[in-house]
Amino acid sequence: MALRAPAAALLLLALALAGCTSAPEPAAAGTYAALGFDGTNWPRLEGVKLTVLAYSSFGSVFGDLARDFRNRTGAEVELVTEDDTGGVLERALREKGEPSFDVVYGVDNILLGKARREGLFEPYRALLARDIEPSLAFVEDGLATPMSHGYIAVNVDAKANLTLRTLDDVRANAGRFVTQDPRTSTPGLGFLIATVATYGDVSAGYDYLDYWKDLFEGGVLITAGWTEAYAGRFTGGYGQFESGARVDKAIVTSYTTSPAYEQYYGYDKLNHVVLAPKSTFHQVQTMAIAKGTPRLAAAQAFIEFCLTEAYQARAASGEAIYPVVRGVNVSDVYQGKDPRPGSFQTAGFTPAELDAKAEGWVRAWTEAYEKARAGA
Amino acid sequence: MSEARKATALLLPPLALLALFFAWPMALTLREALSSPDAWTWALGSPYVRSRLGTAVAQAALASGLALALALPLAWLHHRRALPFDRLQRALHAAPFVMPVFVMVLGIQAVLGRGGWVHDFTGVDALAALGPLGAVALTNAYYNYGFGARLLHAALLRRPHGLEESAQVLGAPPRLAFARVTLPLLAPSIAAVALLTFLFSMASFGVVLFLGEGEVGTPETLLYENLSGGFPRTDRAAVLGVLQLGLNLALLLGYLWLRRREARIPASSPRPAPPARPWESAAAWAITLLALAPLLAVLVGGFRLAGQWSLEPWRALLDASHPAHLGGFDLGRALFLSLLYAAATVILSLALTAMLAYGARRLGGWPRRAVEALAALPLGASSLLLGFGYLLAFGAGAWLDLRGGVLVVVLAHTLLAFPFAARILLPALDQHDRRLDEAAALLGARPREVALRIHAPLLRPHVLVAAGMAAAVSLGDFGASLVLTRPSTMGLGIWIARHGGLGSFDPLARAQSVALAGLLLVLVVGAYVLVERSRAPGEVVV
Repeated sequence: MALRAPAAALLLLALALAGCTSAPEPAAAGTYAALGFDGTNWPRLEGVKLTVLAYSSFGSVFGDLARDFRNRTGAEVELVTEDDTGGVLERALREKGEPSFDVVYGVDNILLGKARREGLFEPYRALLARDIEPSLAFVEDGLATPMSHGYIAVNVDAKANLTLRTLDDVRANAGRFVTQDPRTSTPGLGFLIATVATYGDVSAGYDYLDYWKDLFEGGVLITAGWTEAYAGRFTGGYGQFESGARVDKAIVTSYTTSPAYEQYYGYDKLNHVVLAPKSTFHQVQTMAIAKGTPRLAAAQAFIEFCLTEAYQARAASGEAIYPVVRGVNVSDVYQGKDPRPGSFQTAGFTPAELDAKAEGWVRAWTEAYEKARAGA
Repeated sequence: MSEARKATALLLPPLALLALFFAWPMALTLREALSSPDAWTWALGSPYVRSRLGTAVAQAALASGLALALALPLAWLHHRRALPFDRLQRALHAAPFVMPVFVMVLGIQAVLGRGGWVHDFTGVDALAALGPLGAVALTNAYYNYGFGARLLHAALLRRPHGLEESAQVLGAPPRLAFARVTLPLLAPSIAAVALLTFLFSMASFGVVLFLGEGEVGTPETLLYENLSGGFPRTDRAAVLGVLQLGLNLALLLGYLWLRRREARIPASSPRPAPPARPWESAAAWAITLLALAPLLAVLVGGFRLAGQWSLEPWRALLDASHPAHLGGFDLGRALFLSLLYAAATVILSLALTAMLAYGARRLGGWPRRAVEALAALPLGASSLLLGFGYLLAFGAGAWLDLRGGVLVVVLAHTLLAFPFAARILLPALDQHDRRLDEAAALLGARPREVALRIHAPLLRPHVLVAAGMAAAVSLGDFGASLVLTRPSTMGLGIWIARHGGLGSFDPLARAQSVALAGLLLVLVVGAYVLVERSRAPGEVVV
């Protein structure tokens, strides 16, 4: 049959490609320290192409970061994103043992336990981790390196004329509230944990599941990711300036720094943040090396590089979060308009508690969510 | 080895492939499903699942009704009048059937959604007015009505005019004659159109995911919900997969039974219809163009930004340093992969079908029917389900880990496409006149020569149709590709979704999505043209 011959050649080519992953590279399998890194001397990594898997908003700082990393070490970096942090973990889980990325950024203090159990990462005790704020260095064995942190909290649009002080007030306005699915988004998960902290775990009295039942009955909107909620639906976010966004909700789960961030980018109003005790969640984002990566030295170099001012100083203006390294000043971005960390009480679970209980809370939430949707 | 043995030996490779790359993943899915009684209680008892399946049935029933409501008048129009370029028009109406889900969703949104043509013209957001259920039903109907019209038109070509006239001679008025003579004979075809639309609507994934706004669910979207995020529930996903497989197979068997009944109706020679009057031709063309609006919107949308003509979407797609360029995306690579998958799928599907066809020729009775049923079996597994099965069978820790490569994608596409090829080629080879083969054998030709020198030229049109369908299935695949690919192996279809165009409010990201969808549309149209040029009139492809 006339079609077959050229197509057969194509098929052989395909099967040949199936074996290849990338062009041969200079050996980068040893550690970066072995190549000569000592904190000040950055050995070159010419010809190496590194892949970083992260959540989509990391893209806003990535361009400059990649350029500076290339200038410092000669290595190329490419960014691959998933919509939100849940998606990042999903991809990491699905590719366990055969990762398509070398470095992953987006597994936080809640999800790290799961990543540890699944054996997804290669531990690395970064040299420059000595500069990290001690209270944030929660990973003892270096399985992942803290890279940024933030406080998940409910944001309220300044234009909405709503004074919300507690999660009870949020419940009273559930129909104007949009939050994220805890299975696919860590801000959503952080908020769920905050409700557990505020109302208590399952009990005979009013517990967090009763709170969620009330929220669902009140008409809360659940989106898959942070971007869809904050930019797509929140009337006080940057989405209000985009023509295609369907902004219709005045209350959203985001970070305590989001209002100040909006002001930095020219918004003339300062949104309000709910700061009642235990209604916020302290999230520490980590960067980790994928287990099985052949580009170990380059992956380690990238982590070290992100601990320098090059990334830490930009974290605030690029992503509305806080750097982990001591002494990095973010006041020029937030102008003191962010609630001072330490001036409010967060949910307060230890990483060990989170690891043990988070999945159970998510499952219970899913049941409540499905029950509410079934009634609809 | 005897000829018969040699021929039956041909059956081994396709059966082995089916066993390894279909039965085995499905068996593992079943095992995963059976490992968790809780998941069964949830799937069968949970009000949530019931309500989602309720919406699935509702939209599928609505879509079937709507598709019939569109297909019946269209088929009747083409039957009663000889319209100029009628074959072309029928082909255009049926084009949506092979279109990838993003082309359809983006197209429908571009015409009926916020910021779309209807909205610009009238200020009405038609899609929001329809609601998620209506939007999904409309899109599913749009997918299938043209194919349905064609099936009905083919049935009408076999209308027994002679019998009707006899009835009229015996005193029946023309309408009654039609109702009592022809309509019962048309019934299997009408039921087949309804059932096929129902089947495809129930199996719908991409359409429901992107237009359903979480209000509408199908078994496949439920499966996906349980697979995504940081805390997947593979046991629940497996149970849903098994249930979906059962449902699809049941509906499929019904459809196949109806088509067999249809085939048993004796064919009468069609009568030429009177030529259409000018206003009728114009009306027919107007309807055709209206029906094509979503597809045209996609073609055009890649060149429009903020209401102006612009090349910016293409610049962002092609230039890696452009601020709106999506990380990891390379248009050349994505295009190459899409074409590679399509080409590989075509070759493998055709090879499998040929082996099956020649291997089964010597068989009779139930072994023959069993082989035909096996060939149609993968039609019951939806794309996402197959992908999920492959993750279980060829994923982490399996004896054969195929993750990260192109082979697993090629295999999934082949399994999905080959039933279409089989349903075209198996009957074609059956209907071939064996006397030609016998004459050639008398003259000294060996079986292989008979196949090459006689079958090949005569079956060439059918082979091209099968090739076109296989290519269209591969190009349009979404579910399996979603779970089996990674950025380095993703084709155009997945990149369209990753550009966030479907949910995004960023006009440039959306325009990039639409641009890619337009490119994919052009490729699929290429495959479709191949199908249409080679198809015999009245021949129906599924």
